Amino acid sequence: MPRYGMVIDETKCVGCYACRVACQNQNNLVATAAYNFLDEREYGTFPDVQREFQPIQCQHCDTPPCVSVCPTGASYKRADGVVLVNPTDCIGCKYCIAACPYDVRIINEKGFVEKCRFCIEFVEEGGVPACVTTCMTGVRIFGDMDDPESDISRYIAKNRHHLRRFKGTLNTKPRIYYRKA
Amino acid sequence: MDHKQFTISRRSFLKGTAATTVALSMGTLDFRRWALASEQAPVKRVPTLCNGCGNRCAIFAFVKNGRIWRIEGNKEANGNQGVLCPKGHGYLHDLYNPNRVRGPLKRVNGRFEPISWEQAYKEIGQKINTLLLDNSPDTIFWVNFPQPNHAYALRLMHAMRSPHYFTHGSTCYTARNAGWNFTTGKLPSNDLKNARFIMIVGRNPAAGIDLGQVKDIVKAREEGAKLVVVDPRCNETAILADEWLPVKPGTDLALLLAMINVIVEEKLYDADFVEQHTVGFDQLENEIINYPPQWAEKVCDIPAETIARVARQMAGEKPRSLVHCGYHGAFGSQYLNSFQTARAVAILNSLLGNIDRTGGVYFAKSAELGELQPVHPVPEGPLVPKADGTGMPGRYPLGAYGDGISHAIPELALRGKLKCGFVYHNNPLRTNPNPKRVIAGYKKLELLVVIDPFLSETASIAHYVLPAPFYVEADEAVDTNHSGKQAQVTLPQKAVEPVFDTRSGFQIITELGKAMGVGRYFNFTLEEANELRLQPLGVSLAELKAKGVLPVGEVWKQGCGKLNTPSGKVEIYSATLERLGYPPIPRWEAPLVSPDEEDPHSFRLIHGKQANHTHAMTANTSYLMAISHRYDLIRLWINRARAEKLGLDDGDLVQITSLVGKGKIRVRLTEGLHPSCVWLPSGYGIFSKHLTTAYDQGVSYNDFLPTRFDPAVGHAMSSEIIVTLKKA
Amino acid sequence: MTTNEKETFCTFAASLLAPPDQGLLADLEQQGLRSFLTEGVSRWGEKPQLLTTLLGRKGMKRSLSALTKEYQRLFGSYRGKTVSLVESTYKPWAGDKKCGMVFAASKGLVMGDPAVHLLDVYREASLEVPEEFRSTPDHLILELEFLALLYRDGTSEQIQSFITDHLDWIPNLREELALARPKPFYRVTVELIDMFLENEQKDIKDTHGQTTIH
Repeated sequence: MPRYGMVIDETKCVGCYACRVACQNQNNLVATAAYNFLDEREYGTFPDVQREFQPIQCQHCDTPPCVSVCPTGASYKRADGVVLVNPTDCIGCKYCIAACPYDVRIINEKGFVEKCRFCIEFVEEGGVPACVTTCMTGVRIFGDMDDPESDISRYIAKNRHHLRRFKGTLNTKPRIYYRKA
Repeated sequence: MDHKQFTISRRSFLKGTAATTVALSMGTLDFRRWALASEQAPVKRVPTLCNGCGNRCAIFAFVKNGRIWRIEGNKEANGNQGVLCPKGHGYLHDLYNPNRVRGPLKRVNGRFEPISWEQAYKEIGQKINTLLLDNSPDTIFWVNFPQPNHAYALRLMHAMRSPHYFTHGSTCYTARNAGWNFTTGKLPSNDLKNARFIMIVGRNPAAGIDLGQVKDIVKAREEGAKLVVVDPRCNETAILADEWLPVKPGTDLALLLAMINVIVEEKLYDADFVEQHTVGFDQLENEIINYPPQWAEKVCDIPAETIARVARQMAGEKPRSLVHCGYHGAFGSQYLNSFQTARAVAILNSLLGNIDRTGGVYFAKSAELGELQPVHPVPEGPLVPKADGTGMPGRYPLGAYGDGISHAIPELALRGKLKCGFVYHNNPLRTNPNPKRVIAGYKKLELLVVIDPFLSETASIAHYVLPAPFYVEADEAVDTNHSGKQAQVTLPQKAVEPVFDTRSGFQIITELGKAMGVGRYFNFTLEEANELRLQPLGVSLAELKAKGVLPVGEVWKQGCGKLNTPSGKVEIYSATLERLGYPPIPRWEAPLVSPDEEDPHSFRLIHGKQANHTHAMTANTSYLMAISHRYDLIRLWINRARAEKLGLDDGDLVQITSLVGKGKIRVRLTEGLHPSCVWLPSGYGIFSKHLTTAYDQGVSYNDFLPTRFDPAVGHAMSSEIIVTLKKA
Repeated sequence: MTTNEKETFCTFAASLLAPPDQGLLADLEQQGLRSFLTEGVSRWGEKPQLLTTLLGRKGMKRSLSALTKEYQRLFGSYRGKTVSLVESTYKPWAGDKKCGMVFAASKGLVMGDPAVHLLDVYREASLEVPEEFRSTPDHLILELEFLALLYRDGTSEQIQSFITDHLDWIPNLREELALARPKPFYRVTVELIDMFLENEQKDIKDTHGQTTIH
């Protein structure tokens, strides 16, 4: 069984929002709803300045706070690493939204919670998540972290020291690893 | 008789042959059953071109049940290499927007009324004939953002014997083109992928998206190339860069002259190349001593040692080292000194010996399409040159005659030189400087016909609006936009039937020709014309229809040959310019206007693109506008220290005023902007009430830009704007 | 109402939603129409007074130009924000999860699933969609006309299915219309259609209930 994960090379993100729109495509979202977000920051003072966009989406944590607070078990963690929400069990109580430290969960028109699902149905058919393929600078690498031959495993082996987890001290153990400058 | 007896006079719209609803099967009538069955319908794949911006990326449109179903990038195309940008994904939303122009319209007493195509053509033709009784043929004009079928628009104007075919170029790129043309004979492309050192001045391909260029920059960076971005704003391409040089806006020329100074003084140039392929290096040596980095530092605010270091780095990697050829930003049509800036970029590249060399700038292979003659006669053409004076000594001799000076149209209309115009895929009321003046000019026209899918600002004041199709709804002329190391031809193709009563641009142009009495020049079908134009390229239309993109001709090989200049060489010194009375060697020239350094409220207003919008064209697309709102992108950027002096906080509303306009907009405080300017994203400020998503959101730099013409090229000088800012 | 009367009601309602003309104004003067509607409205448990705004007081002259102006303001084209009479615009564009267009879930667009469905339905019933409705085969006028045809020679199953699938958005139309602050004429027109359909829904449920008891 594969165990999926993602690397996001933040140094390459130029903030074009193609991932947002490609994701809206893939998941049939309305114009104002999104599963991925860009957090823009500026460092330094003129003229020594750096800008940075951090792409943020569900981190598919290995110890997901959303799962532990869910009163109905609608939020769950799959063996392949993906965190999902079962719409039939979700009662829209928003506990998970409050518990998620990454602020990536939204409540949809039908009243249940949704968020990035690593395009898992598409991936199971052999596809690659929409945010990965649309990107002109190749910010994201997605794949099976248990397969040493996968692109993501090779990348991690080579760049291990540059990779960080988002809000690592919270011990949520995200399956997304960020490469920072 | 029943007391409830009455009649209904209106006949029903639904027309049936007989009482047949009984024959309806529940399998069809029941929505759920139908929906399940329709999910099994086959999906057709049609190669075509996106038209979300001028790059016209090659795409595959997938069609199911007659509707657009999915879009994918075509990997074969040089320009986009298989990927799509947010506009490629989002802009098609408007294909099914009920606010599109649904059929031809005529303005009657200030309101639009539907009219048939045939009647519209008839009235337009008749009106033109009447106008031509009292006016010369050159009072007719056509202006468009270049489209695959612009060749037919030009043909139409020439058939009418008018010289007045215009592009939007004078508000976009004519200074850049002129600078290169007078130096290397032609505008080259950038071999970014193979470069070891890249400097980009003003251009921002990560937000004024050029997918292929960004992919190539990333590839080059992975191979260890250095990237330096020169821009008053820490732009989105700068995020990928090793270094951002926050040049004072309008002074890029000083920076470039100083870099040339270092390379010449320290003999870092490619001496063999200079010897063999350039003229005027001696004169350059004499002039360039005036511009040491210490001088430039005072002008452009980049430290002298940085200038010298970057120049050395650049020269150290020659010839796989380049300064990006540019587009709109910095020297496309921005400043009084833009022409000389473009010349300096061209000269700096040639000193690196990189002209037509791998990793440098190269003359892209582009497909030379065939002609329609001798099968179809060439129109006799105009009797007089363009009234705007492009290419004429004493007026705008360095301007591009082919593009014309389209922002002069309102002036020419006000002076009665133009009486009747066609606007196609262009919205001058919003994208030309000084809208009040533009509106006055276009309203003076006795006949204005706008061809557009929407009631844009310009369409809103037209006498007739002919509804243009969305790109996936029409077959159009063959296109050559994807040039590169090998030429490519591409084909815009119809994927779905037109949602509304629209006709292809090609069809409209040829039908207008017939209505205007010059049908003899338009006796061909699109099919025939496309075949004739492909003939010399050795590819068939059938093959192009199947693949969408086809490589043609030889693959580029490096090596600088004879250039298309009078000397056949890079003209560092230009005898032509000297003859015309312009500096034959670039020399420092200050911008036309500068903010008042004593006044804390005074700024230069500069502008640029955001990745989710194209000109004023995409602002009405809800998916793209939702991004602008969610990320608060409709704001004026201002240097934090300057803002604090004005008591401004992030998000505050300011009153912005120039010589010609005023408006209100919220500010974004940033460290990433030169203190002397404010930066406004382009594409907002829509004032057509028909564009309901975009209406009244933000302002446009054009609101503040006086009508100006660069004295040599005639471009709009669109960053020569001084504004005052006050907390609103 | 008899099936015959329902057919008439739908045809009449469709004619109310077309751009107004002298013919319509003359129609509204008819005593027979007044009696017909009064009876209908009373049967639905509503007060017939609301018809006054639609039909006017006896002998009152209605101005065509004022009505046309109001029609254009509310439903006309090329006037910025107007009220849509098209079913697709009230529903997500495509229900097929495999649709890869970004706007699949968006509302406000034409040629959504309902429109594509109705094109198939009309084709099978040999009905021709006029050119002016090429992108809006699910316009309320056509839907009411089609419903009239179903009352004329369709089965109750067909009627039920059509109302449930394609005329479930009229409450949304009422809301949209209310936002545009309509003059009473078109407010009442849409209210009447809504009442009629609501009663038909009730009838459908009752009939359905009976069939299950059987």
